[in-house]
Amino acid sequence: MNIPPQIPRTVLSGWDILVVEDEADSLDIAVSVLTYYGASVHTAGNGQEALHKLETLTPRLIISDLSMPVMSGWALIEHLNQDRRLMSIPAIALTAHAMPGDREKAIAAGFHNHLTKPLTATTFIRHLLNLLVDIPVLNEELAWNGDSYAQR
Amino acid sequence: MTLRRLLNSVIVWEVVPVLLLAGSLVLASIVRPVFFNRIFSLQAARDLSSVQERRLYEIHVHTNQLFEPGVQSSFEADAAIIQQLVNDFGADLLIWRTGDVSRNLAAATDVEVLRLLDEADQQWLEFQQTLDAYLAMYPQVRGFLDQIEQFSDLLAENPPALPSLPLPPPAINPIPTEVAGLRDAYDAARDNLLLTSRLIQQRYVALSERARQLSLVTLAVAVPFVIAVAALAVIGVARTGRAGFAIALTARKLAAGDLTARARPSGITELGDLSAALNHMAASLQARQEELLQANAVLEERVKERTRELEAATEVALEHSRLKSAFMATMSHELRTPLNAITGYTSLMLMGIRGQIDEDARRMLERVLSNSDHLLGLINQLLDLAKIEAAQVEIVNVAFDVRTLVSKWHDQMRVLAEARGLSLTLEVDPALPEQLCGDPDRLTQMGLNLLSNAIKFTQTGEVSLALRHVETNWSIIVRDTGVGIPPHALNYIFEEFRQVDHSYTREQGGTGLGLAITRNLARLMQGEVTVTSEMGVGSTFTITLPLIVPASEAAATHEAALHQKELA
Repeated sequence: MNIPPQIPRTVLSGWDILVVEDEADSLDIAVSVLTYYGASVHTAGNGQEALHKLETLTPRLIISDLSMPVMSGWALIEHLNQDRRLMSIPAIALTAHAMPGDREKAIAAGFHNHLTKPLTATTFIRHLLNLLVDIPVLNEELAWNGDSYAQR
Repeated sequence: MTLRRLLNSVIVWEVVPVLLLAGSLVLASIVRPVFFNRIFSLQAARDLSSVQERRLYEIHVHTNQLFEPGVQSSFEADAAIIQQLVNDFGADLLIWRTGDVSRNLAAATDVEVLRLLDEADQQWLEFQQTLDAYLAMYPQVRGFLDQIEQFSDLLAENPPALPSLPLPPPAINPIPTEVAGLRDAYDAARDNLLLTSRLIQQRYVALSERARQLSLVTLAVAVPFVIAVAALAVIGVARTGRAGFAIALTARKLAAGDLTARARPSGITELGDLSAALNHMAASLQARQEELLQANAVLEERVKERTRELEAATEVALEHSRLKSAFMATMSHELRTPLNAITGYTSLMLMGIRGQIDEDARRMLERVLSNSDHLLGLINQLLDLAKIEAAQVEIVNVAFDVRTLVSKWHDQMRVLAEARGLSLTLEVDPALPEQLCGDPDRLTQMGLNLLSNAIKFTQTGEVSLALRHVETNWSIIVRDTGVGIPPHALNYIFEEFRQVDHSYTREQGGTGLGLAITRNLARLMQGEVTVTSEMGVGSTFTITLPLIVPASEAAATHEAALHQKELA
């Protein structure tokens, strides 16, 4: 997957992205990076808040932490999987869980993939885009500054 | 019909029951019914009582069961019939004698059967002669016996009559004193005579009894010598046979596991010794068995106890392992979360998200980021090491192209080397097969670790990567022209956090865990890592691993070798 070395700031323009994260710093950083690249970012502090937001929102992508109070990312993905409208929204786990098997567990639970903290702003967007180009419906939406990735 | 079957049908068994009834020696053989019938008719003709005839006939019938044609005979079945005969006839003298012929017939060759048949016939002939001699003597003996019996019976039934005494009739008139005295004397004399007569009668009875007894003795003494020997031999065989039979039964029971079985003591010396020895053996066997059972029970209990202990220990160990895993997972998570904030914010600043930053601030932020990276590397390697030590690392065994793999390492590390003004060379032994079996990811981890160390500790010169094929092993050799390792340090550089100069760690971003991980992984692969070094000249690290070639590759190599030979 060749992500252009200079990622255009408009790569996520027009994207509604829901970020679910209980830890304020992590949420702040994720929001900052995604906003920097043009996305409209919506936030939730846990799974329950996310479900509440999703009643009126249909984002293009959900990025969720796993360990959260009230409702974890695991419970959230379970709810999403059972909802006809929400089940088609790609969800990516963003977590500090980095033990062997964590990625497999996340994918088995229904997440499209798994990003491990800590990430720098650059690695975050690069890894995220790397995952997104694998998802056909999202790949086509990525704005590559005149170089449409989807055409390759 | 084969010869053997023919012989078998002729011989079948040789069994000679002998019975002594009411002072008469009767020999009955069922083996050869014709012969038995002859004996039977002879005996019958010689005035055997009807009781004797009946008993003989019964024995004949019973023993015939033993030889019923077509009936599969077994030791137990035969023994039951014999036992029945013993019970029914109280036959101290019932002999059960099974000849060698019948015992060995099944396993014998035709020649052996013929020999055994010969032996049996010889025995039979001797027996027949003895019997004939006895039968010839029989009338004589019988006659003598009859006379004695008649005489004794006569005595018993007709004791001698009391002597008749000429006594005058009793006087009615008064008797004169002298007459009265005479009468008293007469009465006394008569009583005396009656008493004497009674005593004589008793004597006669006793005498007749003794005569009866004598007749038996006389029979034994009177018969010719050959008969006595034959009878004694037969009786001896009977006793021996029965005692032997009892011992055999006991031995059978013992063999079948009934260790309480005991042979009765026998009056015959050899058999007595035999049964005593058998009993001794049985007793010691029984004692041994009891000891064994007891020891077994103790052992079983101990095993159970140990198993419980082991289960408990395993449970504790598993719990520890779970706790350790949980601790590692938590630590990893807890360390990563703040690190995420540090790297995240720093990188956001560097990205210029909040406006341009000056060069000084950029340098400082880059140091923050670099240290964060180092910290992350440390966390990752610590976790890796912990996983290896907790045996949570699984070494896979897949086929991989070894040259492609090391080319990747070379490409990846050359950039680093060149950035430091070093050259990185690669040399692969042509003898090394194309495909090897192993864990390419872990090999990469090990190879890159050695290469990055070599580059890190080398100021000038070159770093070389070489693969060698040595007999049943292959090795990855990383050589550098670096500072070298002091001899005292060679012993501990593979230990955790043991870098020779800690300043390097901070300067070069090393953690001091790479070599420990590499060595642990090599050992998990049944290999080893070794080092040689000379101060100021350089160091050589060698990973030696067992050479495992995929099956298809091995076949191909073999074929190629054959082809080479053919060409030669």
